[in-house]
Amino acid sequence: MGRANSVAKGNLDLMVLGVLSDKPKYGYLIQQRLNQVTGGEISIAPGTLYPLLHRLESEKLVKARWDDSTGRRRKWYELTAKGQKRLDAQAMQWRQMAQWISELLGIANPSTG
Amino acid sequence: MSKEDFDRFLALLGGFLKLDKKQRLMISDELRDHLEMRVEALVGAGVDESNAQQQALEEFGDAAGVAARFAFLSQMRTRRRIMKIASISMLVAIPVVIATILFWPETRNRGLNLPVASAQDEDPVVKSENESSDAESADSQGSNILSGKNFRPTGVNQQLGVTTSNPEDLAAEAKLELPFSVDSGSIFQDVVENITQNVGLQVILDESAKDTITRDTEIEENFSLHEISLRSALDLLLKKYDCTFTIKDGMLVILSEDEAESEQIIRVYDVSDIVEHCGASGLTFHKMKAGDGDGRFGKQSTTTTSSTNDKVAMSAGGGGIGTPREFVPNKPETVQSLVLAVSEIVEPDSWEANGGSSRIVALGDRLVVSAPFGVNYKIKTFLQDLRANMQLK
Repeated sequence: MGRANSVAKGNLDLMVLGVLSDKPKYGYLIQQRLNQVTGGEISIAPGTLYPLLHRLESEKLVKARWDDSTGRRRKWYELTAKGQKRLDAQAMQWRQMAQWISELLGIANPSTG
Repeated sequence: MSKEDFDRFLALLGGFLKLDKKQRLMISDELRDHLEMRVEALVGAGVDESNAQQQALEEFGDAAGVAARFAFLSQMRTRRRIMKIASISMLVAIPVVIATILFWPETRNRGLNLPVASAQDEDPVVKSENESSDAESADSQGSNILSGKNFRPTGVNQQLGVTTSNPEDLAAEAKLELPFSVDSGSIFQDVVENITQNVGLQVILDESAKDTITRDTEIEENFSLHEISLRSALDLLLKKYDCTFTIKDGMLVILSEDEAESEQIIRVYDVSDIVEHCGASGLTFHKMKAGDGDGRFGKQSTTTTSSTNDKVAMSAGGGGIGTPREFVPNKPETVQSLVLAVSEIVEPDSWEANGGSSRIVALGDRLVVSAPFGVNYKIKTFLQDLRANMQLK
């Protein structure tokens, strides 16, 4: 991870669920998407990402399926309804928190630009 | 760095995982996909393959660290499963425990204020007093006695090492209170037939009684009884022949007094009402000081006389002959003092402490007695008198 590690550390679940919110992805794509969105500032090591994905799977926040159609065994993850609910709830909390922090720091509300 | 390095890394990781083979293979496949994708991306970015593989592995971190994260996850999953099973078990166990407590014989009987017999509910043959027959209802004094063929007060029975009584005995015993007459000049066979036909009790003449009584034995000319209880009639009649009677398997057995001593019957007397009354009213039992009457209970102002003419010393608020030793009538002490009262008052010579064979112990608010039929009867009468004195039902 990059400089934003400390902020990201407690929010990895939220970030991974967020990455999966639009469509199913496999581990490498998830990692790349996080990299891309944060401009390389936040990067989850594979050794952290995969155990996290397995945990989200055991908590039924994501579900997985194997695909052999490309000639390579690949595990795809997608958000479950429970995962979507969790994402929505955490996203709301995050926005609220961001707003409070912005106000405390005297900066513009991020949602209003 | 080559594909073999990936294999070695994944094999090493698999070794650390300590998961079943299927899980290890799935994790290995998933991570291999990632490594190969990363190598392809790096090679596509201009990194030579060897360096790309090296970099891909370095980004992954050390195999032990990755394995530890997976292992932790597996442990958490197992723990969650155990917790789930434990929760389900508790949900199942709690109603079972509650049901067991509610339906445990002692609990149920206490709730209904019935006498307690630990094995009573296990055997439908054993009847409680409330279930007694019409004949039993003749026992109008309400003796709170339990007895049963299969009544096995575990521990008590083994401890006393005597036979247990038969539930049919209750019905037979109740019939002893029915009115009975003996005509002078009749023979013993007439008495037996009278008992069988008019009272409904089968009579057995034990071998031990045959030394003094036969069916042809003539009743004395001046011996005539009219409409007294069968029990009293038998007491008066059999005493003349050094005999007595007992109830066994629902039958009236006539036997010698010596033989009767060995016919021990276990009975449990519910004295909870007496104990409760003593606690509520502050009644105390007094024991005379040594030298003030053989250490037995003394006569008090509220003495109740039983049929045995023995007297129990109880009074409200103390007092009494001599210098009484008072003790707070808490439950165990009250029961213990009842044990003492019974052994001091009812057939004192029959108790083991005095060289006899009868035994009495307190079990909670019950008296457990192993004694011949006659002694048990006197205890029953004694307790009835006590209840009458206390105005208890």
